[in-house]
Amino acid sequence: MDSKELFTLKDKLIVVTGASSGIGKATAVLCSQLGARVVLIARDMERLQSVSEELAGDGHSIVSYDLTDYEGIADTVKSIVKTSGKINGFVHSAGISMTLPLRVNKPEKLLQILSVNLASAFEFVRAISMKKHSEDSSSFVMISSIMGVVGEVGLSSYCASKGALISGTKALALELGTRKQRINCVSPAMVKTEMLTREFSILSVQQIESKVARHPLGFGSPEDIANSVAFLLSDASKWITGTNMIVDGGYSAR
Amino acid sequence: MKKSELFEEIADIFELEEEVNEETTISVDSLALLSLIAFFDENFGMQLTGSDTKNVSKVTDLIKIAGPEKFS
Repeated sequence: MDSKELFTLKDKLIVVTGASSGIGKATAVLCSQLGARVVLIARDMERLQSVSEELAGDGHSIVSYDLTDYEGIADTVKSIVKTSGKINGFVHSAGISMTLPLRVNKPEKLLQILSVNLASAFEFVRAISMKKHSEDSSSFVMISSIMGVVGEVGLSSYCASKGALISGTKALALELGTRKQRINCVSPAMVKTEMLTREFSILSVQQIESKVARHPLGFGSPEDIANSVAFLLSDASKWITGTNMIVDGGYSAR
Repeated sequence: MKKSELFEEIADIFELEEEVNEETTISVDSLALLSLIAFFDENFGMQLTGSDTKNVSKVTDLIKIAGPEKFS
């Protein structure tokens, strides 16, 4: 392979969930710049439309879908393949986070978080990995979190959902390997996204400063995460599967 | 929301063993604050902050923050 082409996504069809903002949006934009056709999935059609206008190249499409309804995912994948052809890469960036200390963390809350962060991710992998829906050597990237590796007060359900993505990914890597398909996680620490802004709206300046101080390289940007995702989607990472790539500005170094 | 439901929730959040009423004394530490934030967001659509609860010492203070009309 020509080294200049090592990280290209040319001729690949990449499906990205959570594509209307944050890491999903940055990933979709970068994939398009690296030559991929991108299918953007999120709830809000208007925001998807606006992201699609930022994409480079042609052949992209948008799909409005609510990921809490995981029963319709298989049909959605089928329709994407019918319209755009077989899929080469999938990025699950959709996710929800709720701060719920143990006293208010009831089972329905846990299940709500697991439904979007975990069940919908695995359902997409199940549907896309079928021979009729994807090429051999396809790459799946789950956006997990450093919270899937370490704990944080009030985030037991979120941490559990992200930890499950990491451990489940290892098992899926064993199954997908038969077709040289790969699956990996990327685990960011705090990244400047709308989700973080919402979480920080309840914190004092001192509390925010202490969170920044826990990142030797400061908070990340969505593009910092997108760069790692693009690497895992590209053929440059063709011998990497079942891993969790921690991209956390040094958060977990101490 | 019925006041009795609020009292049950407060008993859970603050781990109170005695029967809760409007005059029950509560002390909002950081974990209780996070729980109250989640509870107010879900039930009243309100974004509570630390400064809102600075002067809370009784259950009735929380009812005032949520708005007494929200309880029956």
